[in-house]
Amino acid sequence: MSDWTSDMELKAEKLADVIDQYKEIPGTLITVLQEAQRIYGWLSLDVMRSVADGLDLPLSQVAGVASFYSFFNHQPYGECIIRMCKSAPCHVNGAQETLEAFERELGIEVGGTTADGKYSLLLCDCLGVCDKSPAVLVGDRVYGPVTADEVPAFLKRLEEGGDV
Amino acid sequence: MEQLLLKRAGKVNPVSSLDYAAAGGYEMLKKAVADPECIIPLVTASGLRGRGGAGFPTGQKWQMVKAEAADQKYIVCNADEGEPGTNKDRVLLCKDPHAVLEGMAIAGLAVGADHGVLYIRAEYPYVHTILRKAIADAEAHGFLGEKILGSGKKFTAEVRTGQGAYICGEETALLESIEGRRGETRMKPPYPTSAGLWGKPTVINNVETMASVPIVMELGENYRKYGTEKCPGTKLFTVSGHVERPGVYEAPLGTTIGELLAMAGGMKNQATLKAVQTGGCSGPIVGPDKLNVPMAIEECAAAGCSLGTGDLMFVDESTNLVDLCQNIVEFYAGESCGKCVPCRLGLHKLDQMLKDMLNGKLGEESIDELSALADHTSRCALCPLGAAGPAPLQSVLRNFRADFIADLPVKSGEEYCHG
Repeated sequence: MSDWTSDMELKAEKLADVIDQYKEIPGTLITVLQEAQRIYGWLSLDVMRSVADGLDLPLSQVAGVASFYSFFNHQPYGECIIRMCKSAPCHVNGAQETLEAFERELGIEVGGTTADGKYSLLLCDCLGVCDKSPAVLVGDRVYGPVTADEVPAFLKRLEEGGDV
Repeated sequence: MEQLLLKRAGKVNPVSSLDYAAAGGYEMLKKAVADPECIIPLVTASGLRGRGGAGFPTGQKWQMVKAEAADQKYIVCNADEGEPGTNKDRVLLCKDPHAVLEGMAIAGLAVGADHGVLYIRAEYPYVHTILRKAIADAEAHGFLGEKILGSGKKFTAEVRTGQGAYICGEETALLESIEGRRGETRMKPPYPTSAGLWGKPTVINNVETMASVPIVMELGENYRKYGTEKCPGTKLFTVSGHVERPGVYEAPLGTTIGELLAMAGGMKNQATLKAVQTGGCSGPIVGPDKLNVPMAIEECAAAGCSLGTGDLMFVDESTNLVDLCQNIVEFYAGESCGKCVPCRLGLHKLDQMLKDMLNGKLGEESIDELSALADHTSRCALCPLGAAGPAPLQSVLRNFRADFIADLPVKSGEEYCHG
């Protein structure tokens, strides 16, 4: 059996466990999809079909919920998603310039993923840290202010895995 | 200035219920357990109004839920703080989450609900962990759970996380999301007080309202020492934009816009103030002539400002108002759920027109059309989102028409025409 097959089987088992854990609890579709995304990184049609079958819901309902919320991913992204806040308080403090610096340094446009699969760059609405604008959310951590001229050093520290 | 909401912030370990109790916390829960009937009269007497923007009297809302006969009732805490420019709930949840949990438990005892759901937005992943730990810690020490404080009364709490949708801050959309569906708003009535979560009578309060509950339980009518006659108490204000020390500040309701600017250290680099957006992303954008307006619901409304969630975004003269309006309208266009035509198409058309103004395709002659479309969108939309989206633009066209025109770039081709 190839590594790829065993990896997919492992993920499918994990998803089956999640479905078992939540299927009797009403209203947990979003929770199950969140867990599915943690396992797979994104929600493919196959994953949504597994969730629909597991929770005994129509696929249309699962896909409808998955497409409503902006933090559900509908394509594979890099290991590390950099979300740049585009809301007004960050905007007036140079968010656009920071975004352009990220695009330049990573060599990708918004929505894109670096060739090595490490980073994806996305925009998002207010991160709720307007005292640290312009702000970015990387994985589960929020950073700011990240000005355009700080972006190269920011990415270097991220690369080294240290505190940014 | 005296702090009521932030008095423990930074001074206690936020997840530790024992730390919170040692700092005077959970005392009001004891009082509530001993005499649940005292709660609503105290909250009502304090004059506490909802801190999420609508300002509905909290005691009255709880009385409505209490009066409902039902086998099950729920408490929901709205921590879907999505309004751009609002950070106050994050500060409370990170630094003093037990105050929020205590408020939820007291609400439960008041109305006869034994379970609470705290719905928090996806953009705060690092707060989810704090909340889950705080709830587990409160249960481990008997402040929450099957037998709170050793009494026969039960109150359990759980965290549900959103997945990125501004509209889920609207209470009925939030309920839809907790129930696992798309966050589309429900028709009202019925109001959540009679048919809320799972169709049961439900109290939905903002995080800051919940955190204010132990304070008003302690102070009762003395809470009115702070704030204005119609808006008693202190409130958290988020100050952002071009100021020296952006952040969350606690001040009595009725503190003026200028006083809050001073608390944040004034304009950054002593720049000249051009405009301030009041009450959040959907609030009116006003000029420096409004610095003496008190931040309280009635006073703001009379002066063409808005208290909203208590935000103030100050911008200096380097700010292009066409660009700022476009940024705000684009946000609402992106968050429109698409259910009604005026909002779905109107906001996108406004966004496109503003983009065309920024890139020189449209000019001053289109302002009347822009203004008319903003008015139609706002008036005809089904829910408050469609009404809120064009509001900042409308206020700019009303208060800053000359500046708006001055901020338009030279129309493409115009330089040749004059050549």
